[in-house]
Amino acid sequence: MNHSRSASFWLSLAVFILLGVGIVMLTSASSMRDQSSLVRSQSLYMVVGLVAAVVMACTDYRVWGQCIWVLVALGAVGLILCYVPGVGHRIKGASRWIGFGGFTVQPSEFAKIVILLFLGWWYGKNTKQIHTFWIGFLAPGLVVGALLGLILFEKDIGTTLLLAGVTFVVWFVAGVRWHYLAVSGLAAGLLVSVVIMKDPERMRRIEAYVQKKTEQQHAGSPGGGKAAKDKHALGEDYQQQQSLIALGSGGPLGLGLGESRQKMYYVPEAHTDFIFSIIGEELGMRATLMIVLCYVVVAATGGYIAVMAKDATGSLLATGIVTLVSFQAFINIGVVTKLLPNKGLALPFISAGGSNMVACMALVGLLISVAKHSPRSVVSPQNVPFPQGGMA
Amino acid sequence: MKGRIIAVVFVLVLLLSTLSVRLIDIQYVNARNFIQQAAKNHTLQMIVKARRGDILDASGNIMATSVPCRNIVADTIRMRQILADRRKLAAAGKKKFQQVSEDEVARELGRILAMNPKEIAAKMRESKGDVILAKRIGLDQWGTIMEAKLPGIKGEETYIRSYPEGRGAAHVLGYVSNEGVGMDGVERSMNSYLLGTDGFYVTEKDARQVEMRVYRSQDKQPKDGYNICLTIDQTIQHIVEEELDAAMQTYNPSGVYAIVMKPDTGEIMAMANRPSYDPNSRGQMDIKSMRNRCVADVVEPGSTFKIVTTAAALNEEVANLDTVFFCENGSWEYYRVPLHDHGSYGDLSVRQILQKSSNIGFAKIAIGVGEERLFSYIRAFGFGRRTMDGYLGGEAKGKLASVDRWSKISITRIPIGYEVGVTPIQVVSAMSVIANGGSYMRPIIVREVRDADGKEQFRYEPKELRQVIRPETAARVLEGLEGVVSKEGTAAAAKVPGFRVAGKTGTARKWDAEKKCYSRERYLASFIGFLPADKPKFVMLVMVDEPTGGKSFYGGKVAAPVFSAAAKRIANHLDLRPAPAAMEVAAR
Repeated sequence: MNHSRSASFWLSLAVFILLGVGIVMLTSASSMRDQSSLVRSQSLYMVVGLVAAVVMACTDYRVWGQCIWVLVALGAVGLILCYVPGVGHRIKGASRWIGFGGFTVQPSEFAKIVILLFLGWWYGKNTKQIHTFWIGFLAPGLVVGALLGLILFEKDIGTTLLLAGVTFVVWFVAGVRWHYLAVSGLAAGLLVSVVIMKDPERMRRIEAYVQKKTEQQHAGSPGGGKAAKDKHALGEDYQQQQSLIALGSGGPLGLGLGESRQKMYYVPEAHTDFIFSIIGEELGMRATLMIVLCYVVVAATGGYIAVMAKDATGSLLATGIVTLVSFQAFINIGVVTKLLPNKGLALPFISAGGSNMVACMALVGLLISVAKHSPRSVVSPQNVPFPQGGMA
Repeated sequence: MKGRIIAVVFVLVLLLSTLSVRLIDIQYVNARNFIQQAAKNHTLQMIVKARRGDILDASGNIMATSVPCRNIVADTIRMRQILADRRKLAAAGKKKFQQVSEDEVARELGRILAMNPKEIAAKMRESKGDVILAKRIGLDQWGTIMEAKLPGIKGEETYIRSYPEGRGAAHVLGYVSNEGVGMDGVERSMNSYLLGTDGFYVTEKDARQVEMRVYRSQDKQPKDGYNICLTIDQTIQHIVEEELDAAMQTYNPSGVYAIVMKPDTGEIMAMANRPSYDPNSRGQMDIKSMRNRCVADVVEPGSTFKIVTTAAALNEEVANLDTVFFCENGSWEYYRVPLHDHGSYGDLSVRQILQKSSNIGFAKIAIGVGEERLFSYIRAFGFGRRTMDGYLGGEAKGKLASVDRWSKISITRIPIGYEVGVTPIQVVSAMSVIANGGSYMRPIIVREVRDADGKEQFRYEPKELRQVIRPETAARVLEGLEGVVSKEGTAAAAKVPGFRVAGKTGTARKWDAEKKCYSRERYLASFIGFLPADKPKFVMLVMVDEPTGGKSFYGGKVAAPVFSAAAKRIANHLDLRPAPAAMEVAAR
């Protein structure tokens, strides 16, 4: 009986359940929109994501360390390309996308993977100097900070906060000195704590403040900041209220697949950020609790893989991945259930959207790769990462 | 490091677990609350207006109908949403729109509806939700509005009441209030049949307020109102209306009205009033012209009432047509009160008394009949009570005092049509008795009630209420009345070439309430005619109220020509064959 293999199995099972629910519910939630093309492209993203996962799983995660600076540079270039006319795409006033050949890609999703790989590699390489200021804190801090700065520059505050939070967790696990964390993370840490304090009103004020700042930075571009402000004016409260109504009216058992009323333009973004509320309405509490359970399984198995990892790089990478996916799921469901102020983050493995899907799947692949290469693993590299039969 | 990883994972699992607590709270503990909110969100109750039934004439021509139209409603919430989106897109330079503000929508609507855009804009500005901008807009205009694709503007299905003949038969038909309630005439008396039952459905809507049909429940179709089929013949009605218009021109009276009745069934074939009104444009209606004088006015009939006296005398065999009475050479004092004829007559037979309309002659005949018997005949002829069972609104009972309240001279005044108040419909119904072999038919104006598919629901059969006089008596009276429409009679002007016509003129002085005496200037000129005289196919009453043409005020001079002109055309319409004897007369 191999524990890491078992962890990979449960992890994969949870992810497959989430993917399955995701594609079915996307079909249902987009029934009044451009359904067939959405479902078709989302299926394609899933296939691409699976391929990415398999590739990542079959590749030793330490390989990436050899070309980490290339990856960091690619990430930065991708983020910068968002502003290059002709390549960068502007949607709803935010420059988060780059396009080529009819596809649009969100470089910040790629940057997520890069940051986690970088942190794992850096601290795995400098195990002895973790407590130092330059090597242990400032140098990686600057690299990550630069990438985060670029993402913040895109007015993607949600992703910035998310990645900042993940970085802090990785720092904490790696053993960076407390007072560095405390000092540097004071401002950002406050923000995160406010999020957890579930005080939507204060959060909104802070958010509005940040937006104002970014707006001033972009005084030249009229569309962007204004649209974001209008969204505020129209009230995210309305969105969240409609989301609660969807969840609540689903009750324990749900209205039945395809029977959601709230998806009929009441819940905005019913197929992306707010898809969880439609799941709750159609399939009920049993489904929403099962999804939460799936994320718990992902966190637990990921945590197990992190503990069992061969080296610090693997542990930190696994911890970062688990934290990222869990945070993202927590924030998304927290927003949908009005525990948190409205913030647009995709629900991992479920929400429509290609970049996020592929990124999440790649991260799962990395996790499995860490599991495979943990010391107690007897899985030969030729074996597929997903176990067949005989598990019990 | 492992310890810290476990701590982190523990926190993560804890965080995620709090979500399940929250979910249980929302989806189980407080689910009911949210289910209610969802119902509030989605439920849509709509009323589907029933179509008010048509009113048809005897041959199924439409006299009143309901035409589909739209109330123009602005859903201002939706409008503002769309306009805000449009402004955003327009500002980004992505699309161009005709309307990006409420004022622009109002301007376009104002242009299409020919309304003041400022008023429309003001209405929209004050509203948070649906507001009616214009009522009962025709489908043509609605089509234009739809083509303009104005945001948030919708059309509420409703009906507009339309009267194709305009003023024609306006008093018979009545009109309908803004709330769709019949206010007069048949519209009022048959309102409960015409109304129908509104339908409704309960359904769900999406956030754009568009119905999701799959979720429609409790779909109750509206039940359209019944159609009412009248006894009115639109052609005859039309003829009468035209002749009344002509009479208005010629005699300039304060009013003129006519009723045409089919004597053997009591069906009213036409009933018209002047002044009249157009129920299509009720804004201009004036209260005076809205009264249906044919049933609402109580008048002293004058000489036409003498037919009743004659019938009573002949039926009681007090006299026959050839019995002679001395007419006192034009002036007779009875209980010291003088009674005058307008000519000086000596001995006259009953036939001649009718021809000359001698007041003294009729007074003497009535004295022969006696008070009690005369009173019972007047009652039997239907005076002093309502005739129409409420099928036409505002019908008056008339005035008929019982015998114990008569004065000494009443027996000389009532038989010549004074001291009694009658309505025109009572006069026509009574005279139809003469034309119908002595039996009194209940006057009817509603023949049939049909459902929307044309299936008969009720039918008002002709009903004989009582035999008032013997058929022979009726024939004798008719014979006597035929003499009236002759060179020797008072109603030579009522002749209809090719037909034998019977009839009786009436010229009543109107009571002057101020001077407390009968006026010498204001008269009610009337003529009741039967055609053809031997077997009348229709009875027609014409009353001209206060003719001021200057020429004349006599029934024979004023009302009889109207009868003649109308009767000629009606006979033609009814395809009546000229009598051979009359043909000879005409040939000569």
